[in-house]
Amino acid sequence: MPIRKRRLYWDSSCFIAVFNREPTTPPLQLDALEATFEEMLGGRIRIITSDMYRVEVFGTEHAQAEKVAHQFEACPNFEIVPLRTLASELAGEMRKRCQSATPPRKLKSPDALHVASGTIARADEIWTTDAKLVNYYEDGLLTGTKVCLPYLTQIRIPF
Amino acid sequence: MTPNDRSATLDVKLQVGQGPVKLGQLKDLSTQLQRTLAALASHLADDPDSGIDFEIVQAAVGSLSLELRAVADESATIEPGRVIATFTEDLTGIRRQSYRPDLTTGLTKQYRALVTSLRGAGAVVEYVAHGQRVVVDEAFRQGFEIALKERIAEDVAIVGYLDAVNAHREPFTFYLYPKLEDIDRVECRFPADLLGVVAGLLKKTVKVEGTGHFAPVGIYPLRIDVNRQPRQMTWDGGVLRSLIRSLVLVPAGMTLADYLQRNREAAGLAD
Repeated sequence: MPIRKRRLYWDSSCFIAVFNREPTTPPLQLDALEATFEEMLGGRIRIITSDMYRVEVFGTEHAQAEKVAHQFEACPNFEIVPLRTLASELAGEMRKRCQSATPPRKLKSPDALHVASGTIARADEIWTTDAKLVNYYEDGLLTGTKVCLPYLTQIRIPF
Repeated sequence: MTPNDRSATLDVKLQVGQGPVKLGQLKDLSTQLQRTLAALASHLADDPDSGIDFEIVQAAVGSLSLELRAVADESATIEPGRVIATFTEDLTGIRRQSYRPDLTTGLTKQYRALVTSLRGAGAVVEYVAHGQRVVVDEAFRQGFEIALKERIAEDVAIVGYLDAVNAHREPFTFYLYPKLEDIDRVECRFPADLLGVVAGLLKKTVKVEGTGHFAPVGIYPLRIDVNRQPRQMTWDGGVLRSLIRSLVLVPAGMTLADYLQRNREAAGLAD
């Protein structure tokens, strides 16, 4: 078994933030996303997402989505997790837990599916720009896999 | 910390049923138990060298009754107690068709090999740890096999590294190594008319499409029956790098959250 690289699951909000020309997220998060994307291209970490990313990020821009999807599929450090029955079941359990919480929380199905996909893919962390989702994790309503906002691990100073 | 400070025990008992258990079957049970516990420890540690070892510390006279001790060395990043507790929880959970979310297909295959290792002999194997008792009898074995029955899905596509082509006898096969390191290779069966194409793609990254045979856990199938010509995949880091802050996705005046919601609604993904 080869040495395992750090494995981050990104939900679609991370891709929209990093690809969009105009900033849509706070600068620190954006810097973290860009640096991590570069790390992935350099083969130091893996980024995983669900196959939902395509419609969530690109909407009806099919030509652009196709071009990006081909590159993502071919990239050895990027993996796309197909949605399977287990993910739907796990997502359903999380939604029920959120509904039963005090006060009840509204966990959207696609957000729950992202967390489920990241958990099944054994990601080390699930990254999102949605602070509400992070709060749900911190309140113990999701799975054991950490959900967090993008962050920089270390500033590298060349010398 | 000495090894004794970090250890956990598992009791294994074998009761012979209506028929004799052969020595070879006993050897098989012991091999599968060792492999399963080692695979589980590596899985939990995310490291092939988990630093956990398994020792027999007691054996009763007149029957097979073993006390196994999982012992952590100094390099171990997981606790032996977690390995033993997960072992009994996984066996019970799979039997009830309630799967730990991050169980892998490789580990479930190993559990299946362990549980079915004395099938047909009528023997009962009992595992006891932390007050949890798992009795593996014929009914358990049957339920376990049903719980791990393969699910079939059409139009499955996987990208991976193509290796180990068997072109000597049918079914013709190759192995695909998916991108995530801890995932087992996927057996791919292909028709004779693809022999030349497959041979030309040996040791290349390819996209394989076909009918997938899935375990109830994991993200990749156990097997694919290939029904389309595999294609070589090449990537260009420059293309992906050029995407950073270059696309006009979110319309002016719209937030990222609103844009995402709009796309979800258009795709029928919204609640």
